[in-house]
Amino acid sequence: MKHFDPEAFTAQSEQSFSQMYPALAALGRHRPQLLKDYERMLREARRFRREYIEPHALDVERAVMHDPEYVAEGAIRAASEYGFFSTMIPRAFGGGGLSFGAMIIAMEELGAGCLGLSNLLGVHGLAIATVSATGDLGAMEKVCRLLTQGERAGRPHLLSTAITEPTAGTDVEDADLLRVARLVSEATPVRGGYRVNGRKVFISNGSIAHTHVVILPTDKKKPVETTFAFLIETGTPGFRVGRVERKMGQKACPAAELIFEDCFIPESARLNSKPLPGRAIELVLGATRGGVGAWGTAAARGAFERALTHAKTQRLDGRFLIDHQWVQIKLADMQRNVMLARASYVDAMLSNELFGLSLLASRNGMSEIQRLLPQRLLDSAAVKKVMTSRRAREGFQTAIDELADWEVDTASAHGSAAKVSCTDLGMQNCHLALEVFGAAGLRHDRGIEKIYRDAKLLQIYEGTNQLNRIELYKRAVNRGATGLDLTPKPSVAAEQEVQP
Amino acid sequence: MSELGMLRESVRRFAREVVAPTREALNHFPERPLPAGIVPGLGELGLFDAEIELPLLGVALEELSKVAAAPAALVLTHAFARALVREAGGGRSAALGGLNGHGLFACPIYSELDLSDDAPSLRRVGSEIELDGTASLVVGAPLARVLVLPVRDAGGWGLVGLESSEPGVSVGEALLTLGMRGCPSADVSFQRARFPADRLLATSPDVARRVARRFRGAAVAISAGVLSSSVAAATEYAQERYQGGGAILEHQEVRAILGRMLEDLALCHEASELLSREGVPEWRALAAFLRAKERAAHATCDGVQLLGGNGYMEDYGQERAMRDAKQAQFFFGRTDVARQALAGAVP
Ligand SMILES: Cc1cc2nc3c(=O)[nH]c(=O)nc-3n(C[C@H](O)[C@H](O)[C@H](O)COP(=O)(O)OP(=O)(O)OC[C@H]3O[C@@H](n4cnc5c(N)ncnc54)[C@H](O)[C@@H]3O)c2cc1C
Repeated sequence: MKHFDPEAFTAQSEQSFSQMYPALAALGRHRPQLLKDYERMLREARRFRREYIEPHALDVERAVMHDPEYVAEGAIRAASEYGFFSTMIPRAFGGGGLSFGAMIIAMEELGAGCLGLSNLLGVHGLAIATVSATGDLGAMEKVCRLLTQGERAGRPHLLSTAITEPTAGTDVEDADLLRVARLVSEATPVRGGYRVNGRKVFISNGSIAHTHVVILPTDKKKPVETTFAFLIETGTPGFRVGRVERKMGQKACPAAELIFEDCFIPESARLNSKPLPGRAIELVLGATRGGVGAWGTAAARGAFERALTHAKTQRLDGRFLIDHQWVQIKLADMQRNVMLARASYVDAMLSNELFGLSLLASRNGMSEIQRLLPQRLLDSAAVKKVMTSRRAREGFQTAIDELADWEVDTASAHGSAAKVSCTDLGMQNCHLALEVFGAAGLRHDRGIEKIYRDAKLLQIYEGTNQLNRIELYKRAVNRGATGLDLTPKPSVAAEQEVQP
Repeated sequence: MSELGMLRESVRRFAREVVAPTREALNHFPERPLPAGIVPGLGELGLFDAEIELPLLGVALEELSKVAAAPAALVLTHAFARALVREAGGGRSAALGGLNGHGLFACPIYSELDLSDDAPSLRRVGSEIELDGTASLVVGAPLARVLVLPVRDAGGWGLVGLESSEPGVSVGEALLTLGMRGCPSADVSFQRARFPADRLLATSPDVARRVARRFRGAAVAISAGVLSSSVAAATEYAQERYQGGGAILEHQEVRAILGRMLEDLALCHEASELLSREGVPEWRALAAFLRAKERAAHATCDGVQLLGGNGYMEDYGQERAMRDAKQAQFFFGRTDVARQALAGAVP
């Protein structure tokens, strides 16, 4: 039998862009600029992963275990040197001007190094996506400027998005369920603004963000008709951070409770848009669920890469693990899962570019203008005026309205399919990788058990994998289903409970 | 009350009154010190006694694991390591094992004990043996008096039994592990350290295989205990959590997941029962053992899922169950390696 030859081995991390993304490489023949953006992002992310994430991920986690209030300041500073907090901000607002897709590619690469650190960057992107989907370009420009200026100074202005409430998680992820949700938070209209009361829970970056994109109804009895996004600054009287959660994994990214007690915010804090439930939220989730798909792929890949390294260096029964057929088959299965997962989120990403949120950014010629104009002009008052004008905002709203139902459905369906598939495959690879490791994998210092803990979150947030299946049913199986039977009565047989 | 019933009751009480209040500290080991009362309490219950019968041990471990699996893993490891020493026989074995009830035994219980690839190497030098290298993840080592370790003996296999206080034995810092936090483990290393030859207790891996076979039932009891607490917590939560217009238990998908968890729990209990019987064919015993451990590990992931975001938080215990059950899957080594041994058995 031929034994393992390290010289003849080409590791996955050395794969080129086109090996990893053949579909995108093919697409790039028609849109060379897009391809260049993607490739550049992969390169940058790979470098950041190698130089910062890999060397620090385990230490950051130990630090949080030791002190739950620990903040990964070093990682935040390092990421801002790379410009990761502003990559997808339009150039006209001072950012990198790259597409959401490019950011997603970075998320896989960074997430394969550490899902927690990658999440810290990614949820910030979720907030930008949410703000952009409201079409309130004035607010978008304000947030983006704060962000890019902070980033340049090495102190990025971090964002969080707060949707989940103690009594409503799944229920606030879907417009039909929202009708029966028991909400505790509300922004009650008062003279000159709103008075916010209530609580949001599990908010990623909640304890470290400077601005929170808080999703609130102005009348919690009519959430579907009255829910909007509000920008609330840390330090606003009446707003405080509650408990910072003790989580199983993803420890580098804190999740916190946000508490509002008679917190007054001015009228201008409300992003100017139609109520969000419906199109706007669907567009955001269609885009970001693909991003969670990239993290599922990252989990699958991180597990695979570590198992591969282990298999090449450790022996079992006198032979290198990699010389055992069962290990080879497992590694092949893990690689197959990575490929499958990646294909799934790339579909989600492309359907978002074709039919979803990213399409809107490019539809009115914005992205072309930004690409062609020099930065000096983009920063000028005239361009700012055009970008934040009422006409631009209305144009954006019209673009949302003009999307066909099937377009939004397609983007949502691919987002949900990717979210479920990739995160399940991510967990599956963790199980497979732990088998390859054996007892060694149980140790924190080997890095694989961390992925197992980190990856589990991906099946829960951004809509549980159960909710995302319901979404998929509504978008791609039965598009006529307007609301599911919300209070299904269990069958008679099921009612005869059996206690454990 | 039968002996078994009495033990079950006293372990339950101990788990509820002593272990439960320290769960958080246990879960944060080694970042936080080990709660003081646990190990002596386990001793008082007689769980470290040499005489304890395996079916009784299984019952105790399941009850403990319903509250916290880490102390159960410590008890199992001790009993198993001690049984290895006894099985090896010989004078030294009697000396190590004879001091009843005093001093813990440690061994790398998550490894394939009959293989010794990453074990320290052994060289015979005159009337002595020389050990070199590191035994990884030796469970119980930071607390143990006796370390029972497989070694590589010129390509072959050996089992050594050493006291941790002997010169040349170096026990590393307590390791952070996926699960069973609060059951301290550490690396044990040797730098060409010499010991009297009687420290080598056995040279045939059959010793490890025989003992592991006997202890399968006790190991599965831990998976069963962990899963049973996960099912109970998930059921309670599903009855109380309102979402989608009713208690989530009313949603058919939630029922389906919970139903599958109960199927897996039933499987664990069936395995426990099968493994406590005499004369069960080896292939059936091994199959039941592997399946139960593996299913418990998967089912506890669903236990987290059913609690949504709360499941991911330490407060609800589901995340601990998920980590502990995964770690318990590795008792006596990988499922896939053992499965290789299963194939070829003629039913
Ligand atoms: C670490 C972490 C970070 C997070 N970050 C953020 C963030 O930044 N911003 C934010 O807004 N939220 C965040 N979340 C919240 C997350 O989105 C919610 O946890 C998730 O949507 C699930 O909601 P829940 O926890 O209330 O679970 P529940 O909705 O209570 O669900 C409990 C269980 O019931 C099932 N279930 C519920 N309803 C139904 C139904 N109708 N049919 C079938 N099954 C159902 C679920 O699938 C789940 O298994 C985060 C959560 C975690 C754990």
